Amino acid sequence: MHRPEILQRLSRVIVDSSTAPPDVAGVTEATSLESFGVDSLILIDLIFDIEQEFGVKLAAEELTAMRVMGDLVSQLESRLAD
Amino acid sequence: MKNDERRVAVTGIGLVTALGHSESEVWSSLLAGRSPLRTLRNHDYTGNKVCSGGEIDLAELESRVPPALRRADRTVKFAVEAARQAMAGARCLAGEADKPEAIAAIFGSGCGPTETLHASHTRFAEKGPAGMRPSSVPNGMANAVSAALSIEFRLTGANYTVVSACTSATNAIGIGFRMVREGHAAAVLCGGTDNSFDPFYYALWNNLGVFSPIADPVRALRPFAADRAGTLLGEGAGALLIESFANARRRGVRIRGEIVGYGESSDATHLTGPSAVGQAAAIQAALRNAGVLPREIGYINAHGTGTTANDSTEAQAIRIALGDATDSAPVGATKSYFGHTLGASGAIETIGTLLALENGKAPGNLNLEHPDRACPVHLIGSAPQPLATDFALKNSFGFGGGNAVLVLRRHS
Repeated sequence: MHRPEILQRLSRVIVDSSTAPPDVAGVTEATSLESFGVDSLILIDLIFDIEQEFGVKLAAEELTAMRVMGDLVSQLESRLAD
Repeated sequence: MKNDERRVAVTGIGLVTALGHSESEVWSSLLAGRSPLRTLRNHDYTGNKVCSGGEIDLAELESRVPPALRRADRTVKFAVEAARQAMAGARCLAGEADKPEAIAAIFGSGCGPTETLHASHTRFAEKGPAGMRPSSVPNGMANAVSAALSIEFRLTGANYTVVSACTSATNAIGIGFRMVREGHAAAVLCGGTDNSFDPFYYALWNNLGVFSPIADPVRALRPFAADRAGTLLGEGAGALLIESFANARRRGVRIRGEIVGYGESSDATHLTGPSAVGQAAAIQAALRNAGVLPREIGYINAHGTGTTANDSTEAQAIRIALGDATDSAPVGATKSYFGHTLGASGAIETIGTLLALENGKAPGNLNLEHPDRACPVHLIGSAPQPLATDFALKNSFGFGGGNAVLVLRRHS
């Protein structure tokens, strides 16, 4: 799966899971993860939703260590290639 | 006269209803005799025998919701917006220098977070336990309502949700009243909320046989009419901020009215069928608690659902409780304006009662061309009626046989 597709699908998942205003088209790899307002409860939902969407398990610590969408896209790209 | 530390003032009110989302909008619509009841359109209600009610447009609500609550249940969103109005009116929002400490959040809801529960049920049916989102429990629990209020407004007093069908909000207000009067809380944010039109929840009512089949939604809900045919649901929330008179005067906030008594009882007879004896007991308990005589009651805001059983039973209950004073206590029923908002009805209609006392005018009874002679009470006509009274009753009676009554006093 190519990065643009990962970004697009991931953007939909994060916008649906988070409290950020729905603007999927405006999300880029440079968008900060902090901007989505993900607290600890939303985080566990987000991890669940990513798993449901991509079939990839992520640990909470992995996600909280990432800063921008590009970090998450890279992680998913790597996991999907395995 | 009780001292001011024990008297309970209403200093903030908030409304989210099909009739409007502010007290000014709601009050002017009540006086104009405007009913917003309509054919339901927020979702697909195909298959339901009756598809009418007091519905709030989806977009209308979303524009008022704080970003942090964008994913919250609709029931929670109603409550937060109504609460925001009440907290603002009482000068209790964050940053206000003299807001009371440790405000409690006691809110009623008959249905709870129906949207979330429906979504969870759908996921369960499609994917089993593995498909359940982690937040299913905290977002779907009944106390998600009071919890959200506590978190959003930083309320560090007790927070819990009262679940008792149509009496939920009145019970919640009564609990809050006792907390303030007995010194357990400096102030309480109380009220009720319900989202009655989630398609799954709404369908639960489909075969119960209590809805009015009259085709025109505006004409369908006819409390105390000889030709009444049932009720229609509504949705929304009502919120009140209550505190002691002493506190309110110290802070210099506007007092909107006073809660002087609260009474409750159970019929202990039937899950859905009402009992005049049981209802009368709650009215009498409220009057005793308030130290108010039946002849002092100058307005009754009835539960008045428009069903055959409720209205005639309630009329009998009023006569049992008030005796000869029944004939001098005008009765109004405002569910024709909002729909039956279930767990929110007690709060929305208590606020309507306070506005009636404050303005010296009771809204007219809609669709009452032919009053039922089997309802032996003094019914207000179709036009607003002047009130010259200090005291009013707010009745709430619910499935499960619970009865809750407030005695309210005009603040001059």
